[in-house]
Amino acid sequence: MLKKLYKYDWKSVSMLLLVLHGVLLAYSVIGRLAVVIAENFATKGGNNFDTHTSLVTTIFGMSAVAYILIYVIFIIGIVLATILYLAARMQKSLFSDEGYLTNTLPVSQDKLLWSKILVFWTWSAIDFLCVALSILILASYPETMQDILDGFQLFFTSLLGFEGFNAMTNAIAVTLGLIAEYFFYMTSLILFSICLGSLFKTHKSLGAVVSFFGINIGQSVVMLILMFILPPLSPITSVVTTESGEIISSTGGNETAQVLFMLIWYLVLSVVFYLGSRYILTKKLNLD
Amino acid sequence: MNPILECKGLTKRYGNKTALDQISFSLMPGKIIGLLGPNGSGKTTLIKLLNGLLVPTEGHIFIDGLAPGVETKKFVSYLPERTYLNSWMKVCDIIDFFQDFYEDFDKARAYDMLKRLNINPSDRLRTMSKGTKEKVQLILVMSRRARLYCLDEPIAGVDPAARDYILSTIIQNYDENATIIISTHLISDVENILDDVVFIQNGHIRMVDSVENIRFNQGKSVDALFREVFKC
Repeated sequence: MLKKLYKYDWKSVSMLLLVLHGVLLAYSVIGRLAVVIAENFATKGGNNFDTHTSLVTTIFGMSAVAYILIYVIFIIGIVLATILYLAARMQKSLFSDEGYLTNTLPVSQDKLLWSKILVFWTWSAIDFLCVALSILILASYPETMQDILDGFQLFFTSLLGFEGFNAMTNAIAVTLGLIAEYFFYMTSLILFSICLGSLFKTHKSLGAVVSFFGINIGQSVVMLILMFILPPLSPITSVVTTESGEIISSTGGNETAQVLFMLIWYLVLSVVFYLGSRYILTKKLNLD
Repeated sequence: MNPILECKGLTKRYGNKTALDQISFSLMPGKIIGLLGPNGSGKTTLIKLLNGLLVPTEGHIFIDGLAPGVETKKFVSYLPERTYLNSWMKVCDIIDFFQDFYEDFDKARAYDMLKRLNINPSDRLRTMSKGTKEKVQLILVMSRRARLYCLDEPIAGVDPAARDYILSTIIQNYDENATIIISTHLISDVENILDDVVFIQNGHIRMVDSVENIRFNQGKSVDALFREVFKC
């Protein structure tokens, strides 16, 4: 049943998102082609510089600035739009008129929730890959390619332990932390906020938005307080050394402990939010 | 034989407003039952509770001895009073959807009913009128070989000609052992097909009786009795 739910949830959101991401990639390819054309023009015009060439170069420059501006807005917009659209679809499927069908299907609440979560994860991954691919299309030149490859190499050698144990632990913790924060924490928080919003008598969507930001700010404050209270996690570090640089004493936390703490924190919150969403769907469902 | 529907002290409150107040009654299977009452009497609330779309404030509701849940949803076919289908979907997609999720869904029966109504399975819902959408929903609901059909105001939003079609569709497409609960305030249109009636008012059950008893013992039509009971 989960497979079937996923299939229909996927179908219900994918048309618009495929078009949006297709446009992003097409825009990137157009940009890249424009750069190639501009480069050819600059190469040809370099030996024969006149007023006409100067004007065209200015137009190319202005177009490039406009393109980059639109591109940045597009990238930010598409990431936000993907999240907002998926969240809106979740809300609609569970708590609007469509909820009358969704909630009368002979499937458990767990499967309903997991189907939405899996679609959210799939599209988040596609979104990330499309944005990365788009940047790669625009930024991969012989001059920049080496830097990009070096960055990837450093990350993977750290992850595989070739840069030492501490670097490996850090790389793993950072990667897992990011996955936990975005895929687990963010998804479950969105779902939980939508479920909390459904408990509001009126303005359910606004209730979901308020819940999302309220919980997010609240948990950030609690996390920060905990980090200041617990010495191994303290972001404030002080090191006393001798003149020769020998460490006499040091206080404060270390980066790996902080990242590990955040990883556990986000995972625990994700479980709490999931169970909360499940509780609301099972015990507090009240479709208008 | 288990009652198909049993309510024990069932109460539902929305804030300060009580929609259903400590109602207790049971309905036996194999009948067409009219859930009758004026607007705001609690009919839709009861049907939503039955389908697990609302959670009772107090008391219990059982469908064939089970609390509303995954198991009851397998044999309860529900027609809400609103359009719940995705407007971007084609009729054939929705039929596939129902077949994927409901083991008792009869695809051939659905296509047969669509054909008789001249509804093109390739049409998208957003291109259809409200009345056609309602017919599609009814076809989907009645194409299930369910044990309990819950039809919430199935004839409220359609013209009299369509009402006849809807009622004949309901009668022709249910198994004799199945139960149909029809919630409506349009008594005269449905009274000829009803076996039993439940009168509900202000969240209280006013009467549970058979149509035969009302006609022969009280010498009244259900419509006349309804007007008498719910006189303003």
